[in-house]
Amino acid sequence: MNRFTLLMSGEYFDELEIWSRSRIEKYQLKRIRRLIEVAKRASNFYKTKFRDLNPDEVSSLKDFAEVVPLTSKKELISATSIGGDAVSDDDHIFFTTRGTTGETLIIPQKDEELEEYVWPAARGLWWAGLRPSMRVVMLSPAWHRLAACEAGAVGLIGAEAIYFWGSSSEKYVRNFLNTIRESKAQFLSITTPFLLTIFWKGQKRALEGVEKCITVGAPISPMARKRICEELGVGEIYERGGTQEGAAIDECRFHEAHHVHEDVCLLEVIRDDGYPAQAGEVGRLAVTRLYQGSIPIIRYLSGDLAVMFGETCGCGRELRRIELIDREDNAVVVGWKRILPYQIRQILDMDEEFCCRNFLLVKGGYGRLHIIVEGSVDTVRLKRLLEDQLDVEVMVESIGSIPIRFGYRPVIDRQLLENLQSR
Amino acid sequence: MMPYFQTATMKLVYHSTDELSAAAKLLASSMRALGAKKKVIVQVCDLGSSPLMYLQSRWFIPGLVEGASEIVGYRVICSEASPERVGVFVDAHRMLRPSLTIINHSISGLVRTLIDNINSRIIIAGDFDEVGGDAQLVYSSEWLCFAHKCESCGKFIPAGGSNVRYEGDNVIIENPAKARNGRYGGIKLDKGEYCNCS
Repeated sequence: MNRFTLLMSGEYFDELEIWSRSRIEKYQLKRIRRLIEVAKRASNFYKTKFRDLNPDEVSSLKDFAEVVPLTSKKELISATSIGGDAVSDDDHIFFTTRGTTGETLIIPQKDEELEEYVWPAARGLWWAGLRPSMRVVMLSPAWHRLAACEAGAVGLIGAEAIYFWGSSSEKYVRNFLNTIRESKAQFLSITTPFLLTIFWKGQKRALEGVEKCITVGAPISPMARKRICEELGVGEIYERGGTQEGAAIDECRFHEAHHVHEDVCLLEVIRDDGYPAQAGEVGRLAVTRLYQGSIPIIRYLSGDLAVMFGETCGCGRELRRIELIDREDNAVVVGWKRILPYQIRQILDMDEEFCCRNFLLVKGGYGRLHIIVEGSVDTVRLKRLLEDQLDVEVMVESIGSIPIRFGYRPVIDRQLLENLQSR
Repeated sequence: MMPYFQTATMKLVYHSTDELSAAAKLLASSMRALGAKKKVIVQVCDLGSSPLMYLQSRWFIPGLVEGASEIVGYRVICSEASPERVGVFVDAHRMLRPSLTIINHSISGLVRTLIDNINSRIIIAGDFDEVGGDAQLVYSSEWLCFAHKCESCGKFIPAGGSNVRYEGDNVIIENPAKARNGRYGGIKLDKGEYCNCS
């Protein structure tokens, strides 16, 4: 497991949080050199890809960004497919990840990798207010790498894990709320779509007594947080982020952006021309996992859009800050405009009636933006609101609840939607 | 601090360390009997706090020293048993070609129409309180015990190491650690459902 001195005092979990920027980068650089060396030796994929790359020539993080090539999802899928070289006999657990495109990627995990990520998972939970002996209701640890790491993290902090029966679909809201009530949980770890489902399907003050909530899976706007806290009775909501491939980020109490857990990953934001984006400029996320693991992940373009923050956080930590905006694949093109679910979320959450509604954008909307909104809403008013804000033609559908069979994605292809609706 | 679990019947229960550890051994025994062995890939598709899922690995439960996959040495991938997530399950199945696939009864019909790997043994599983005898592998989320069907007679065999108790016309399969802790209860079978092949 991670080798930092554990503090677990006040708001600090470990010594990494009080390291200077230069110390953090020195640590990362050492890890990166080692990672490249091992990747070249252990993987045919990287042996070929990095054939002209000498790890000793990477003398700074700037060098790393300049000389190490980016890796696409397609390359990684081909390297991990059966017959590829990345899945080894030592891989013990596999997790899956799936983007809007529907491409499933298998992420094999060695025990050591999971162990490494338990630490930052605990750090994030600590920032969000989890403390020893607290009771925390969690999603199943078996479905996702982050949830498995959270199980370990809860053990590391000395809190008490509680698991509800079911899956994160509307059908199981009752089970979930029953578990919260009976266990008198003080802390909640949940996905954003499920939290929004609970918001609309649960009763007022349904989460009364929950002091802190950490949510993952989709951005949650400040307006939505405020409303959920007020109406469901949650004390405070923190947002956590990450990818199965190794990005790990968490909010501190300032809630302005996510700090990167720079002991386990290096995150970059890349412009379309391949150069690093400036602070404040939206670009593509490149993930480098600082531990080798089953598949070395080096400058991997995860398909996320992100923005890096330049200035230091009010909390004083020098860990870099980033915001994951959306997935590239989620962009819906209407005429000449690319519209992201993130934009829709912001617009909906500014309005009391539409705030916190789950929604789905339909790709292939024949020249207009097709949006399906959960619950009974004034579709005429919503259409007008979106058209005013986005300056495109909009078609709004309102349905009782968005069947989870449409996926956890905020975007769906028209063809797939029609197939699912006909089942 | 050991975890709490909601059961299939919505009770909130606590399992002590020794009970969880004993249950992982019971699951390992049933998994072996169903064909899991060292290095093979096993795919499990079930619901949130199902012991069939969380006892698969020490990574899934704080404080569990070994899960069934670590005891037997197989490799495991778990998926959410909701119709909505079947696509991911099927993709993973196609990519990893598991030797053994365990599927929650609620989605087994859907899954069977979608997977084409005839070399994978498919086992239907579920909580005994929900599924009764209609599955090949049953468990009790409340009492943490397992039983699987005998290939010869189609009746239930308790997981190796189970505490088996006779009560009138019933056979009760129990977690031995719970029984040692004075907590009696488990999968309650009619005598006619119990395998007597051996």
